[in-house]
Amino acid sequence: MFLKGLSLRSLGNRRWLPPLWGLTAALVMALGAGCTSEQSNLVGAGLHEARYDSLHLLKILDFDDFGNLEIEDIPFTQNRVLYIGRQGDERSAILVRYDFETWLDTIQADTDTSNIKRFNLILYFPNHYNNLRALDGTTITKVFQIQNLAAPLDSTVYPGDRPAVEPELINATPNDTIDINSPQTIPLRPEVLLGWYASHNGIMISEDEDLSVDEGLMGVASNEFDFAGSQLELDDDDTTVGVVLQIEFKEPAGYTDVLRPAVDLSTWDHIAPAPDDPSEGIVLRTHLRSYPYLDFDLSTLPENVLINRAVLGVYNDTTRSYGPLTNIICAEIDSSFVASVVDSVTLDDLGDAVASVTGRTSLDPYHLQRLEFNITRSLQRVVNGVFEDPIRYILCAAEDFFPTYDVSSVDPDFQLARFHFFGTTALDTLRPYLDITYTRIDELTEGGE
Amino acid sequence: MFTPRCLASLPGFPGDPVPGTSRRWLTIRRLSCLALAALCCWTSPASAQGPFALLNLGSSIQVHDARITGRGGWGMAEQDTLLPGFKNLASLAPLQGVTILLSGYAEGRDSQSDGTGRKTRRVLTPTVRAAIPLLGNRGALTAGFLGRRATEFSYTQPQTWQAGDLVVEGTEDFLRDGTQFEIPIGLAWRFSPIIAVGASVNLVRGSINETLNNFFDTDADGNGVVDYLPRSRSVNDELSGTSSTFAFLVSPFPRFQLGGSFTAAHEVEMKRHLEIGGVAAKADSSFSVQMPLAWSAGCNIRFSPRWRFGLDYDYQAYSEFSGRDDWAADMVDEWTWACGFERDRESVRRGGWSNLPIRFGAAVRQWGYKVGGNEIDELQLTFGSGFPLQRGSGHLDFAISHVWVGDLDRNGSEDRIWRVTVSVIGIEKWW
Repeated sequence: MFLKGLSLRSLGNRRWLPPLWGLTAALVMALGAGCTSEQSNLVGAGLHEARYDSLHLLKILDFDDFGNLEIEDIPFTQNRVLYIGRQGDERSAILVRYDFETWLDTIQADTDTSNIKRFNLILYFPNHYNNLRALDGTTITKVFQIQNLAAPLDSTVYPGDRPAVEPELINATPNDTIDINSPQTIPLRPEVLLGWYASHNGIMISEDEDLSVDEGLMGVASNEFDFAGSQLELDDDDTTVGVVLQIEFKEPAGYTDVLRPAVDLSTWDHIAPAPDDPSEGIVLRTHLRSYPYLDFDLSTLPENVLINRAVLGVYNDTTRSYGPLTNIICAEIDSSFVASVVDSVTLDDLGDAVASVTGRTSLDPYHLQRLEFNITRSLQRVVNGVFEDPIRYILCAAEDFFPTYDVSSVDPDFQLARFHFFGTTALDTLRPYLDITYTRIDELTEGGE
Repeated sequence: MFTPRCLASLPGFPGDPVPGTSRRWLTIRRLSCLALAALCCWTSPASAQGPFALLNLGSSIQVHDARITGRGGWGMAEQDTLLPGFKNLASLAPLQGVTILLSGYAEGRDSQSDGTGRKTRRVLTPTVRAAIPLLGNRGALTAGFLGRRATEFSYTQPQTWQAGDLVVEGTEDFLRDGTQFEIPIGLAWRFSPIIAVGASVNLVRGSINETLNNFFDTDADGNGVVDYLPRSRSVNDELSGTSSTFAFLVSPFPRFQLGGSFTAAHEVEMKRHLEIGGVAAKADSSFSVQMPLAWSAGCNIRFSPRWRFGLDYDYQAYSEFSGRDDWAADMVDEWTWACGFERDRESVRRGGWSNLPIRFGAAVRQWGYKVGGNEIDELQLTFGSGFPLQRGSGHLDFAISHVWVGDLDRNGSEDRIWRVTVSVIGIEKWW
């Protein structure tokens, strides 16, 4: 309707000109409203002097606080992996006791050994230990010795010294070297079985350190092992795992029976404690979990700085570290919490006290050289005085309360990994450090509030 | 005998449409004006100005309406009570109706520096003025808003920083923005048909914001992730002050008017808020700067029944600025010479194009601060025209300007600008 009167002829009428000019001006303004401007570029840069010049560096090597938190959640007899062998300062043997009362239904107590075709002890090694090789690439071999306990097994005293054992070895071939591959069958003398019917205190499986050339703590599936599908190379998921006894009879031909342990545990008769003094190193350990916490001395860091980059770094002592690939998380933890810990903490309490900063995955203790965590944002919060309670940085394995890094099917209590990082008395090039790249904000220091 | 247009009778105003104009026609005109006004109000702060705005007080904003702009910028000696010029307060004294001025401009700018160029487009609505007649057209009250300076520009450049033995690469972004504006509240009074005076109190407000960002690209850990947090420094200066302006306009001869104004030196308090991105501490401080006096003078002479020539000189003694040493070191007196011609509107029936007003002029300006060690010179050539709104209810004007700012060799940067200025002056006669 409005445009009905608009025609070429009417355009010549000057009464149309004001609205046409108005609309044209509106259109020009709309087009010019910035939407067609080119993006910011170099133009103007030469006229203006940049304010920031350099980045400052600060390397902090001294600690303000250091300690370890021991985690005790899993009853010692319920570990799903048992350990045998030696590695560094650690030593462990496996103690097992069987309950033969349940077996009496299938085996005649007065049976002599004539119908026993084979009598074996079977060890299942989790994947990490299966065909484990030494650093030089050679296959690790072991010589195991198996002995009867002199007294009934008391599971409550472990970790502890190894129990007294009868001197006689019950291996059928005691001096044989075995490769660590799963399952490993160790023949036992059949007459031992008859003796166990009468009296069974339990057995100790240990490494013959005189004959075993290769160092190495070996993990063995325990009675509680319930991750067969992912942690053991088994053809059959129904395979009974653990330190099991296997009896194969001549008659009926091919008949085999298996007995699982009633009690099984590791002695851990030598466990090197995590150092309390950072000069002796920093140790993170899974299985028997021990997590170190530390705090660097920030007194040399100026006030009101902008942290552009902060890296907490440690160097791994590969000669003292071992175990499977491990995820390690650097987390904040309240200083009041670590100060309140007497001996150990529970996982729940630890989970409530920590906040993840960052983490690294699939760390190989045999080959890892330097481990760094970028804690830039966390340190900025420290500088900003965000925390009422000063924080420490704790290094933890991938517990459930670190869901980003808890990607494995098993928890850190499952297998043993030990990372030994150089301490504060090591060479400067190997010491723990906090590398800070920062920007000085003198204006804030002079007039800030 | 020439009759000042202020004395032209309002009834029967030549711009009135013929009787019997249809309602449809009225609606279209109203809609077009509303669209323009709405668009002017909608326009946001400019996306970019010029590189000179990165420094010192920033660039001046063209505050004049399209009519004054079209004739080069002169307006101190304006004496038009139907289409008043707000450049000289005293010229408002014989105002005959409530007047509202809305003026804005769109510009395309080609900036050259640092071996490259950047084209920007922007729209500004720096001026909104209103005036109300008092006591039988002997005086007027006025208030409004006019932008004075703007500091909108940004740049991005690759940069490296030394961090110990490591060279960290990244980009440096700098953004400066903010507008300095005035809210004048004034009074004009005509003692006789020959002499009028005016005075205003101007609330000086505004802000200058600077944000410097460093974004780092270096991956020091070698894990594919940039591990340096960017740094950002943001400074916000809020300006607050009051100035006063006094003006006069004399018409000693029918063909000649002379006008002038004076704004006293005044203090502007600047409250500074400093923030560093990521750092909790903030810094607030304040300081004062002394804005120097400013004055303007101008005249116009009618040398034919329809043609006038005008000349203005604007001056502000920025060499006497104090309060910020980093600015003061580069400051020089700012002055502008503006001159131009105007052919008045005519209302001859079927006059066609010959009825239109024609304006053209030129202005030469020296900016208030040096860049690259040399003064910034500006040359502006303008052309403009306009149309009456119906029933003498106002005027719609436009001006087209081409501006040269700075010199690449002398200042390290230069701008070439095409600018379209549009203004609407509305007069309500019910008052």
